[in-house]
Amino acid sequence: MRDTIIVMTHTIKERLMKKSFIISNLIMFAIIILMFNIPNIMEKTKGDETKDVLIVDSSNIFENSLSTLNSMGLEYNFLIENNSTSDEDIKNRIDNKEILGSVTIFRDGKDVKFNYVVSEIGKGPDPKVLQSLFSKIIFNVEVSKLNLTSDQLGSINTQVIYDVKTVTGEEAPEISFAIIILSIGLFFAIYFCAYQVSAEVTMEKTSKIMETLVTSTSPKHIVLGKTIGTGIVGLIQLLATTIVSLISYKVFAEGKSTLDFLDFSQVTPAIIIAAFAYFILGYTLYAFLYALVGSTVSKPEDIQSANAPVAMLSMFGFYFGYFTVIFAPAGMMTKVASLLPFSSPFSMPFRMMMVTVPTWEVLTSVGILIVTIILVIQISIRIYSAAVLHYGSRISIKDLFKLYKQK
Amino acid sequence: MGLKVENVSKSFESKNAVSNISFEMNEPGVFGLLGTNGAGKTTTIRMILGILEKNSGNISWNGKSVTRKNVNFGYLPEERGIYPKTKVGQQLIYFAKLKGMKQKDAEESLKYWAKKLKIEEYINTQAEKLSKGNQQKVQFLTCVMHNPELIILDEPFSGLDPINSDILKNVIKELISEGKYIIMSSHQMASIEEFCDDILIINAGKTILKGNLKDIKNGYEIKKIFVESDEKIDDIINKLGLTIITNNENEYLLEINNIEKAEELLKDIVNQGIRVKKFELVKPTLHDIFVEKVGEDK
Repeated sequence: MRDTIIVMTHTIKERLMKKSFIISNLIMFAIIILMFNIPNIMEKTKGDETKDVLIVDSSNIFENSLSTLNSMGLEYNFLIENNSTSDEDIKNRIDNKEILGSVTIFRDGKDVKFNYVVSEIGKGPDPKVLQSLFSKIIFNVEVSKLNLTSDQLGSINTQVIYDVKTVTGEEAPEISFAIIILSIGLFFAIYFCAYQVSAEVTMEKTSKIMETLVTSTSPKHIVLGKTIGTGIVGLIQLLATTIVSLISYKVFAEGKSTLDFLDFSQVTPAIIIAAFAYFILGYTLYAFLYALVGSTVSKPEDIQSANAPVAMLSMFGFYFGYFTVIFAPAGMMTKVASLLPFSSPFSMPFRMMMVTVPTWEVLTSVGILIVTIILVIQISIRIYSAAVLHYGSRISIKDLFKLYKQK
Repeated sequence: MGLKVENVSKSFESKNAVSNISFEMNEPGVFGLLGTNGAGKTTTIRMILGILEKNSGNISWNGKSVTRKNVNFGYLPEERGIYPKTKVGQQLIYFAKLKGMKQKDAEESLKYWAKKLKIEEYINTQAEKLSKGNQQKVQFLTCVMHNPELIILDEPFSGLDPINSDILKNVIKELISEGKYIIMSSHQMASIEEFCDDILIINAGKTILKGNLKDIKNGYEIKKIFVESDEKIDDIINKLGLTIITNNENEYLLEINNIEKAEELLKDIVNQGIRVKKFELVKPTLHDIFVEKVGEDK
């Protein structure tokens, strides 16, 4: 135990003191802060840009009712004109930054059409939004001519609302951008932290330090200390990223309509705890697999090919968990993915954010994962102990079986 | 008491790496483990240290099995290795702690040994920035800093310049005087001859010679003589049917089959009135014994 703690402390110190580690984390935090500041930066770069949009209805098709556009909560100021304006005039006004864009309305047979000109694509109101609003306004104009009673008007405006529920009364889930970000983030956190273990083990082999190390303590303590140490550093990183993200959100982005897609309302404290628990379990599983493959390599050029099977397994686990949840959050395949140990760390937290998962399923998933981890730890330590002193060509899968049997 | 290796064997699949090797170290000193590349020296060392499981035989230290718990040992492997990006002091303290030392004791020991091996100024330097010789000294410290009873040195002098080699030799002499048990494996026969009392030569995993180095050398027949004369003596040498190994002006190193031939040669030279400046019966060196024994075995 003492040796495991010494190796663990050494691993943590080494990783935290590394310049590359400090710099890459600072860059990551800067990117997070920058991302949450994008709306502010956009607003700043806009400066005192005009919000005026010219609407030309020379035939008065809308019968002077277009002014209602200004009371519909859009961030633009609509200037309504009923005199025809030349294209040249519109262009000049846009170039002189008097207006942001112009909408020219005309009739084409029975249809009402509009030409939309803006200073550059992406600026000004969304044309689809304008189309919808114009349709509503013209509908109201035409209906008002029918002299209907308010009840009749109400029945014409009846809206169809839907609500999907399961037979158990559970509401249909919605996938938010925040959930997708968290799921992908969890995968990358597990993948990269576990990969570090392989890189560390291979570094110790290629720098020939291994022989000194295994005569100083047992391989069991080395692999346990290294894995726990790297995992703690990963947790610190994950925690720091979460804190920086939350603070950045609170300070720079809360209440900004442009960040509405980042709706964290489905991310409850229970889900955060589950995500951290599955991070620890998922990391442990993949870290020991990476320690195993890392110990079979003695040349840096062999690292990629040796890691490939574990990388493929984690990719499969992630995609299997991710897509089954996206397409059928309560389907049978999703349940399988959230129980399978290689996909459950990615699938279960994602699934929990989407639907209510019975406690027994969560406990079963965690139980299967823990049993698998114990087995993988035993196999990894045994192969690691035999393989760390092997130098030369990379150990084949056939040789791995022999090493496992060998004392 | 001491280290006892009895009939130890190890095979990898069908290949015998080490077959029935036995030796003992009953008192402090240096034991020489010799052999060609791939002879089985490292396998034997790894079995002694318990990092490789033996197939058969017994290895004990003071009657107990050799484990980290029972023996405080230090090992300098042939494959030199250090953490390249880690500071010298940091990694030495890490290894000392793994070998059971407390932080404070490890720091004190580091100070003592760094001064002794003249690497104090590099304590806070990343190991990769050190010269090869200094890196080797750092690794030597990982082997001795925790004051081990049993020290195994695999090629300790390879890659060291004469000055650093002398520093290390003095440290080894001190360790011997402190009563340490040292196993030294080396290809440099002069170093083995300088330090070792007992030796074991292995070839293809088998023992081909073992025992006290002085006894072994005394037991060997003298097969070379060195003669330095005033004149050339090639005619006398040819007449007696002797083989010239080297000849430089009037200096001859000759191979002889028996000591009588040497006496005959000296008599003939004197009878011909040639003045003899030097006439020496050359004792076999460890190098000669090694080459002969390994050659015979092949």
